[in-house]
Amino acid sequence: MASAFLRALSSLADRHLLPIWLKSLALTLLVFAVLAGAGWYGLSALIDRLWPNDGLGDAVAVLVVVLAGWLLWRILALAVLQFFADEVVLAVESRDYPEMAARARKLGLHEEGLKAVAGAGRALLYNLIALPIALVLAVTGVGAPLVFLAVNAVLLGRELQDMVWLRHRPSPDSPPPLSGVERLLLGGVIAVLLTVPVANFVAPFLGAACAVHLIHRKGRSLA
Amino acid sequence: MTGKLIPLASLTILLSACASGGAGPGSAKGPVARVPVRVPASAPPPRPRVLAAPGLDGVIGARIPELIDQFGPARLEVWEGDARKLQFTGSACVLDIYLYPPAPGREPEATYVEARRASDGQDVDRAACVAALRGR
Repeated sequence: MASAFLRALSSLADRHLLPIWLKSLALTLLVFAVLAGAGWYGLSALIDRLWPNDGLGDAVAVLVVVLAGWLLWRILALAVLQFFADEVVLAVESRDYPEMAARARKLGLHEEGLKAVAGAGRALLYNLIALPIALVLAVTGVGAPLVFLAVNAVLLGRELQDMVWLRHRPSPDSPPPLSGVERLLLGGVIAVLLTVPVANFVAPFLGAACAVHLIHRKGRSLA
Repeated sequence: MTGKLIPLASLTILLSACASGGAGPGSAKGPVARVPVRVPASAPPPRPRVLAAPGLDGVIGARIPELIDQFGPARLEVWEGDARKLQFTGSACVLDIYLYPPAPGREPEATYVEARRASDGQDVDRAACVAALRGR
């Protein structure tokens, strides 16, 4: 696992991946700015109406925006990654696994768009389900972040694996290439990195590259 | 609002009734139009459309011997008038290269490439397939 992450880091420095990363980051930042701006404006207008001239309203707003912003970034960044997944997976494979690059099915814009929307919907749904549980555990201090970390580790592990596997699986009912523990570790590391400022810019691409390395190195050792 | 819409809507219905009533019988009575005889094209064939995609340098624009130099003997060579289709295969993918003469009487040059997975025919990246077949 650790060596797959190291290889993924070196993949990120590849000049073929850099333009894809830049355009995906630009798109994510743009959509994030629009949605976050609209959300902030709407929320402050709502709070002004509910609790006029009250400092408490502002404090609540800051808390909600930070939490929503983190969730929004995680969902958006992954959706944008899915949208460019053909190019991302191919760029990593072309450098390190040229034989696998020639075997990767191209999903095309339509299917990639569907995957992006489905992934974003799933992330939103499960995080909203986790929200009341996290609120109950908020008194423990560490409980609430751990709930979100667990939920997103599972979701991200699955999403990153499928991103590569969709292109290579022999048939839709082929067994998944990574074990549950491997998926959880991959998803967990990326979920943590997605909460760290600056690192969250690279985290989705690091996860995608790591999934490529994990799956293809496994495939090589089996072959 | 609705008071203004109803007269407007009824006017539209009336007008459309007029239009269909006028055109119907007139077109039925008119003489049958003669179908013009198609004259065979005397102009030279148009220049072929050339695929432009990254990673296909050395393939697009290449002639048959240059392609065989890169990929080895073709598994299939299809003649189609003055055009050709060559097929090269590896364990990963199948590459179909289409060649058209850039001008009448000239040797055909590769203008279009298709790549698919050998196992089930799904689309794969053209440049990746070219790279894999060169690397054999």
